[in-house]
Amino acid sequence: MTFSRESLDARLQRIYAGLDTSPGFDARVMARVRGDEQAAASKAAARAEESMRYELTKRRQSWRGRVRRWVTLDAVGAAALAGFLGRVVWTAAADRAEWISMYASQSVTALGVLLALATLPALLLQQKRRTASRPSAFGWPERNA
Amino acid sequence: MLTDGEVIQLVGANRRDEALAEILRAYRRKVFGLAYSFVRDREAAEDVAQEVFIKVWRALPAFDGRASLSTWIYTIARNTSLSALRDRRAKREDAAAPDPDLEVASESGAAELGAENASLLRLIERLPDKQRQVVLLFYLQEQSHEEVATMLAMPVGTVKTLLHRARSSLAAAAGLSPT
Repeated sequence: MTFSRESLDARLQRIYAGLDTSPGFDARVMARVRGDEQAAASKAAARAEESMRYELTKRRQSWRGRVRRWVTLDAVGAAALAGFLGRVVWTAAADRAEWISMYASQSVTALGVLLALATLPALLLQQKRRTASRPSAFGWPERNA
Repeated sequence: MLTDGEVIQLVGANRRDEALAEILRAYRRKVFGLAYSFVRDREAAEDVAQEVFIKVWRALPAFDGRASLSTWIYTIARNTSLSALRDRRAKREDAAAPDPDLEVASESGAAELGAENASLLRLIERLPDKQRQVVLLFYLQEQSHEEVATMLAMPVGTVKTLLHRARSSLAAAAGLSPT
């Protein structure tokens, strides 16, 4: 192989002078970046929507749970007791209008007291049930002594 | 060219695209050259370079300036190139067979360069990998030994030695003066 006398450095520089990316490389990279950005934004939006839906469901479930907790035996028992008392009074009173006008305020107070008292046994019962089912340190419910 | 601090400021000011545009302007050819020195195919090197800049863009918010921007970019470029090289090798059925893409690239490059330089290009292709990489990166943009050392994560002394050996081999094979 014979070469002209030009120095090796100059030749090597010339060989690699044209080594570059094809035209429009920067624009292609920027376009990909924008695509990436849009994908990330839509992913973030989907995530936000999902978390909002989750929060809403959680709130709804907790509200339902609270309602379910209120509508327990205590409340139903208290309502039944109140209804029963009301009915007894209603049927027992001969002259209802007169009776109502005479004892209205006392009846309301008595009903309130009864309602308050009616919840007490229910609460005690619930507490007792909870203590009975609480797991011990060994992983099974403690036996009531 | 932006300083590392200016790049961090741009990213902090939510102007990551601008920072990337500046980085592209400053490092496009160097990153492409580095990728080419590994994969030895223009198209593949361009794909790798594109991947590198996308990775740089994604990781820019995490760049804290502890390492210099150039070191950081070259590390990403090296790792991406090595990974691309592994993929290419895995795709090739017979690892011992010459890369057909490389052959085509060399031939087309040779045609553009003229007979004398084409012969030199063939001689370069026969150099050991490290020597070939150092030659390419050193002459790509009249880079310093230090910059080539940063690009290849090698000591400067090693770069000088590899370059000296490569030049001597090429000069001897081509009957040229090394300087």
